[in-house]
Amino acid sequence: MLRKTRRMSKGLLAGLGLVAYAGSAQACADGGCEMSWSLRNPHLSCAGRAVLSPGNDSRMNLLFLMADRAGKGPVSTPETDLSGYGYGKAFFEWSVLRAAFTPAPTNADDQSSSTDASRCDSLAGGANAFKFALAASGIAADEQQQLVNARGRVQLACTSGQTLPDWPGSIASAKGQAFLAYLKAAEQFYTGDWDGSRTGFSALRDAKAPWVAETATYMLARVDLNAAIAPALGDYGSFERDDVDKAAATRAANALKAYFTAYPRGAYAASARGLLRRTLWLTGNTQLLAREYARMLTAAPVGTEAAASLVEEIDNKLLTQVEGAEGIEDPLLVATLDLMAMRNADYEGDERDKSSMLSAAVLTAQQPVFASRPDLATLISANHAYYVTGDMKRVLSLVPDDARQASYSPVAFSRQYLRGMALAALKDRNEAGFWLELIGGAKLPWQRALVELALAMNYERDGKLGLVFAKDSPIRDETIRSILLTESAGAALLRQQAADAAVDRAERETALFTLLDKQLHRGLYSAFVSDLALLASVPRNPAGESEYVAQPSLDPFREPRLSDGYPCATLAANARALAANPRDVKARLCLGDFWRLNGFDRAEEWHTAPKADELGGHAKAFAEPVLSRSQFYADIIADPAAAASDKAYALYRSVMCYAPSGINDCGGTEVAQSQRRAWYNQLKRTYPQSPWAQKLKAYW
Amino acid sequence: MRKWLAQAAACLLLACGGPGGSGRVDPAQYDSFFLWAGVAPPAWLGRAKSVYLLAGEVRANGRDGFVTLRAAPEAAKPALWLVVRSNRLDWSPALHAQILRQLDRWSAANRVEGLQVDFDAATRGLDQYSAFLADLRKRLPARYKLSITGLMDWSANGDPAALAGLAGTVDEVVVQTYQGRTTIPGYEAYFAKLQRLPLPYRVALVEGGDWKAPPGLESDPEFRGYVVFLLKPETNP
Repeated sequence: MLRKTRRMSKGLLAGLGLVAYAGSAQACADGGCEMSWSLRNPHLSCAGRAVLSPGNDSRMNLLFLMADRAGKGPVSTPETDLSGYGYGKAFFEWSVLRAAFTPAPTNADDQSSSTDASRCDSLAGGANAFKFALAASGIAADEQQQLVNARGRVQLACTSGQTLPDWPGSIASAKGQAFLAYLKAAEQFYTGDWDGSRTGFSALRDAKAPWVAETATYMLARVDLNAAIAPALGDYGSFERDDVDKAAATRAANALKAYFTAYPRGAYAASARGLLRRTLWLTGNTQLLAREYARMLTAAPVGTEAAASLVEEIDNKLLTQVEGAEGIEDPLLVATLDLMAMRNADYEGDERDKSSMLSAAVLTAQQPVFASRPDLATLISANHAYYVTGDMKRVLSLVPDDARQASYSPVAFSRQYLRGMALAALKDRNEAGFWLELIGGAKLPWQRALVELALAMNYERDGKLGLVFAKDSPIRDETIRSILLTESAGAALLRQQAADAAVDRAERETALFTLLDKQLHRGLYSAFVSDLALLASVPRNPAGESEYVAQPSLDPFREPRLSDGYPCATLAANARALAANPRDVKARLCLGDFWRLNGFDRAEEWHTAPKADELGGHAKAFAEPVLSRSQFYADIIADPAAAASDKAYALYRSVMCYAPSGINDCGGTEVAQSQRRAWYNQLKRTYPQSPWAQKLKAYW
Repeated sequence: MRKWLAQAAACLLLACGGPGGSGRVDPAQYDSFFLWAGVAPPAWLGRAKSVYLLAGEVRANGRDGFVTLRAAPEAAKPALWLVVRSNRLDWSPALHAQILRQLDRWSAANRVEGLQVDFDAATRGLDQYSAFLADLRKRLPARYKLSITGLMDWSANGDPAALAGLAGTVDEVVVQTYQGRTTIPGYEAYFAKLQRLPLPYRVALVEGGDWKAPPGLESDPEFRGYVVFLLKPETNP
C-alpha cells in the first residue's frame, strides 16, 4: 500500500501557460504518483501495470494473482485515466483496478459504511435482534416493554454524557432479570468498564434465556478484544500496535474458541470468525493469520466487493507488517511478498541496496510453497533474475517463448512480458518480432498498451520512429504516440502527422504545435514560416472535448497576443524578418513578447526530458541550442547598433524577467540580483526619458 | 511593489527567522499541523494550536464509500479539524449523516473547529465542487466551520464565478505546496497570483520541505497562517 501523495496538477501548468508541455511532463517525484514510461517497474508508485512486478502496489499484484487463479477478468469496464494525471491506457491506480474488479455501483448503494469504528455502532444495529429475542422469550409484555426502554439507556450511555434514567425496578421474572443483567453488563462494555462487564457477562453464560446466554458468551470475547485495543489508542485516535494488551487479546481468542465450542452454528459465527482473525493480528501471530487469509483468498469470489476488501485487509494487516515471507505457506501471498522484497527502494523512495533485497537462498528455500504453481515459481525467479541479479539470459531460460497465444492470464502475460523485457535488455534482434506476436494475445485491460509501449521504445531506439506512425502501425495508444511526437520526432515526421487528414485531430494538433514551437525556440525561422501555413489545415479543437487530456493547443499560433506596449508585427511577418536576419532587433524583442504573452515562459523548467530508459529518451532531432528571451535581451543591450528605444525596452524586460518573485521567467541563465540592479540603474541613468524607464519602479 | 521592497528590507534586518522565513520546514516553528493516517502523533502535538486530523476516506467506488481511518480522538488542547478525503462528490444522505455523526462524536471529547474536505481529483468542474460544498454547508450545523484543501492552481486557474461562490460557502482554503515529501518547485510564481483567491486561506507546508515565504504572502489580509503536514519520523528528508 502506498500513501497517496499530491501530484503536480495539470491545472497548475495550464495556469502558468504551460499546458503545451504538460502531456510529456514526466517528472518523477519521490514517493509520488508519476509513472515512468519504461519497461522496468522497480519501485513502488501509484501507477500500476498489468504485469506482476516489484513496483506494483502489493494490492494490485495480489488481486491479479487471485483473478489469475480464478480465471476471471474485470467485471466492470475499467475507467481510463479518470484522475487526469496522464496514466493513459497502460497505467492505473489502485482505485481504478479495484473498481474494475467490483460490480459497478448502483444508485441504491448506501455509501455509508456499517461502522464508524466505534463500538457504539453495533449497538444501534442490535436493536431489532434484542426485540426479537425478547419476543421469543415468553417474558410478559409489560416487562418486555420495560426492557426495550432500558436498552435506550445503554444507547444514551454510549453516545452521550447525559444523566441516565434509572434501571427498571420491577422486573420480576428470572428471564426478565437475565435480560436486565445483560443490559447492565452491556452498558459497562459500551462505557469502557471492561472488568465490570466481564464479570456481568461471565455470570450470564448459563442464563436461562438462551439468547442472553449465547450473546453473553460472545460478548466476553468482545470485552477482552476492546480491552486489548484500548491502551493502543492514542489521543488523536491513532493506533499503536506495540501498546496492545496482548494478554487481553489472548483471552479474547480463548473466549472466541469457547464460543465456537458452545455454539458451533451460533448467530455470531461470522462476526466471531472476523474477531478471531483480529486477535491473530493483535497478538502478532503471523503464521496463523496468513493461513486464515490463504483460506479466505480461496473462498472469496473474484469480482466482488468482498474479494477487493479482503485484498485491502491482507495488505494492511499482513503484507505491510511482515519483514519477509518466512513461515507463510500460500503461494499467492508468498509471491506478493517476494515481489515487494525485490523493490529497489523503500516505501519512502530511498534506495535499497541489493543485499537487503530478496536473496537467491530465500527463493530456493521457498520452492516447496510453489510446488503446485511452477508457472508462478518461475515468474518470481525470473523477476529476481531481472530486478535483483540482472541476469537477463536466465530470465530467457526460465521463461520460454510463448508469445503466440490468443489471450493471457495475468501470470502468463507477466511471464511473457518479462521475457520481452529481457530481450530488450539484451538488444536481441528478435525483440520487435516478439512484441508483435505478443500483442495479438494482449487482450485483458491494460495489457495491450504495455506491449505497444515496448514496441514503441524498440522502434525509437532503433531509429525507426516512422514505423510507429505508419498507416498499419499497431501502436495506437494516444499517450505513447504523443510522447514520441513531443520528445523524439524530427521535423519531417511532425510535418507528416500534422498534414495528414487521416490522422486523429488531436495528434495533428500535437504534431504541429511541437513542430512550430521547436522551430521558433531553435531559430529555424524559414521553416517556421513555411510550416505556419499548415495551421489552416488542422481542424480546431471542438468545444467540449475532454479537459483531462493534456495536449498542446495551437491557439497561441492561431490568435497570438502580439503586444502589450511595444509595437509588433504579426507572428508570420516577424518570423519572416528573423528568417531574413536572425539578429533583427525589433523582431527578436517581438518574438520574446510572443513567448511572454502566450504562455511559453518557463516551459523548459516544467519539462523533464525522459531518461534514456524511458519512452522519448532517444531524441536525436532538433539538436540546435534552445533560444531564450533573456539571451535576446542581453545581446541587444550589448549591441552598439541597437536603437536607444529598443535597448531601453530590452533593459526593462530583463529586469521584469524577475518580477515579482525573483525567479527568472525568461529562460536562459539566471543572473544575480546585482546584475538586475545594474540593468535597472542602466535603464534609469542612460534612458531616463524612455517610457520604459518611467514605468519601471523596482527590481527584484 | 513598495510593500515588497519594505518587506525585503525587514527580512534582511530580521534574517527572516521563524515560520515562513526560509529553509527547511521545522515543525517546532509552527502551531498547526496535518496528521494523516499512519503517522504517529509526535509527543509535542498536544502543544499545537490546531490539528487537521484525517478521519477517513470517501472512495471512488460505491459501497462502503466511507472508510474510517482512526478512532475518535481525545485531544486536550488543540482545536481539531475532522478531515475527510474524498474521491467523489455524490455523497448519499446516509454518508452525510455518518460524517455529521463523526463530528458530533469528536465534539464530545474535543474542541472541534469544523470539517475539512480534501477532494482529491484533477482540477475539473470547480462549479460542480462549489455546488457540492454549498449543499454540504447547508447540512453542516453552524457550529462547525467548513474548510477545503486546494491544489496550487485554483486561484490561478479556477473559474472566477465558481471561486466567488466558494467564498460564501467555505470558511477557508488550505493551499498545499508539496508533492510527496517535497515542496513543489516554482511555488513562488504561483503565490504571486494567489491574491485572486477571494477568501481566507492557509498555506500547507510539508515537514522538512524547502520553504521561503514569497514576498507579500504573510502580509496578505486573507492569509491565515501555515499548516505543516507531518511525516513519519524516519521519513524526514
